[in-house]
Amino acid sequence: MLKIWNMVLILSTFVLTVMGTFITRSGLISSVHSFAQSNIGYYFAGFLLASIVVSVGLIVWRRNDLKSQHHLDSYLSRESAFLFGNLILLGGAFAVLWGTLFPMFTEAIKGNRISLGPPFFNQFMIPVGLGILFLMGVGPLIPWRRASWRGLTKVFTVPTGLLLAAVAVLLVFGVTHAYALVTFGFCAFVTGTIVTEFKRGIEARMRSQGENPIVAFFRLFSKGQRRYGGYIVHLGVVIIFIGFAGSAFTQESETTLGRGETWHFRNYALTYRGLAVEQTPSVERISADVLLAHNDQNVAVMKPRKDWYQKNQQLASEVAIHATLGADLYLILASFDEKTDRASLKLYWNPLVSWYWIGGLVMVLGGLLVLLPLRRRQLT
Amino acid sequence: MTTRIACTWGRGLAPRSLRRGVWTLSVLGALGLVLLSGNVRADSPADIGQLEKELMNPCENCGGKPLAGSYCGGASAAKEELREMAQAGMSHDQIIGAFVAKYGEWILAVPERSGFNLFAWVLPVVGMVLGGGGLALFLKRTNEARRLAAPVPVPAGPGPMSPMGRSSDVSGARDLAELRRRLEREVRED
Repeated sequence: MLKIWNMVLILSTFVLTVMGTFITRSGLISSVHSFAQSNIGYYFAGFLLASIVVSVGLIVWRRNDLKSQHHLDSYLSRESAFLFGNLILLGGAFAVLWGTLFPMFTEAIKGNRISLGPPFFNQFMIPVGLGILFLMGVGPLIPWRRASWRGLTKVFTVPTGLLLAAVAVLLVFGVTHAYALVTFGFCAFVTGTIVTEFKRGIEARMRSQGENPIVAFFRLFSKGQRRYGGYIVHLGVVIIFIGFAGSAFTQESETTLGRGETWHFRNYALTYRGLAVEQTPSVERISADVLLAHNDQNVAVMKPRKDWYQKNQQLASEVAIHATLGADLYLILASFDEKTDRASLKLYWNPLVSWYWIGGLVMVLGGLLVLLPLRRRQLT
Repeated sequence: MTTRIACTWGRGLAPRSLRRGVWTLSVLGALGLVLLSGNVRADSPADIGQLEKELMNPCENCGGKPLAGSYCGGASAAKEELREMAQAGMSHDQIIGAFVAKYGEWILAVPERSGFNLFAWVLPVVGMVLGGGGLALFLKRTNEARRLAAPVPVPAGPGPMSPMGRSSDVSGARDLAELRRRLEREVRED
């Protein structure tokens, strides 16, 4: 089913990848990756056109072989959930493509430059991400071909209950950021579907094989490797989204300190201990020495610095990072005065950033569980 | 005995014209919210962090990003300029105006939502609405064509196989029973 649709998605992905490379490398948009004053853009444009023509030609040529033999039975089915997921992802891809190209069109038509930065893309991509997260929770529990409302209300009772409970608890703790509430709620919902699926699998093994719950849990992976590995990947995505939601609570502050002075921020204390200068043949490094204490315990020495590249006459900032499971602290040396030994420091408190990495690792683990040959294939 | 196709979203709840009106109003409302949400804001005292998010890095070498998160020499100079303006008592809008006058409209991370710029917001929303509508129409037509061609009888035995198992019946209890049977069958297969 949906063979033409799948081929269109695959070929569009390839063409858009080439297009992304073309507009970046050719210098059509401002990028450090563009090849300055080179003809490579024309080659890319030619290849892009050839890719589009060949892709469309292939689909038209083989359209009879790609005709679907099955049809969708119902709006309420896993197939249509996939289709709506596709639609949301395509909508996001179109918003990114349009937002990337729109400044070029504006310049060509109106003659003036404009920029479309992160706030524009966030306006579209945050709802897109939340839609995908929600469908990720719906997908595993909705049957193929056709479902009923009664059936759905039964299987989604626990996940929906978890969603509402998570939102209620967050509201009690004073979280009022709408996107954060929705994200945490959907994360609870998806986790609910994953737990529900594992619970069903374990119960089925306990009934039919007489295994205890722990053995049943581990044997699920060897018996339903792709499915349960896939759920671990889903769990990884949930963890990453929790990290995304943390960005709603980012805080920043800045101050200027003299040697020995301490700056208090939340439950951190940052004591500035002076500047250090390091000279190499190509670069001059000036760093601030800052002692970081958390809850009155010294936890790290942070050294944000500025590098002056003499050959290129360029200044670059190196951010000092202190990462924990709860939050990452970024410290930037904004400016300094060597004569008075004073430094202006900027600090960003970014909650849950580590969760991106943990989620990524969980996704890799899930992927390995799907790919590893845990079961010996039996030839009949 | 025949079974009813489960696709019944909204059917029989309201006349077609009323449903169309509700959908049209919803789409227009969503468009209006998207278009207006960024423009309704009174002038306020300068918030350096917010301004750094609203202004692009003017550096020619490493531009294309907002000032917030840019730490090159060009970005540092622009941030210093911004701080001086704020210390001089300029408001948020005055600082934005001064940067636009100096660098041009491209210094704004998001341009004014007016005139031709509106297309940036309108087209993705229209694309999504048309795509969603097209998909809904496709599903509806597929269903209707199948229903008219051959009413589906309720099978006496188990239903036809689907990619992951058997199809569920319209009854919620049967859905759950089917799910349980599917799992137990998979366990037994090993």
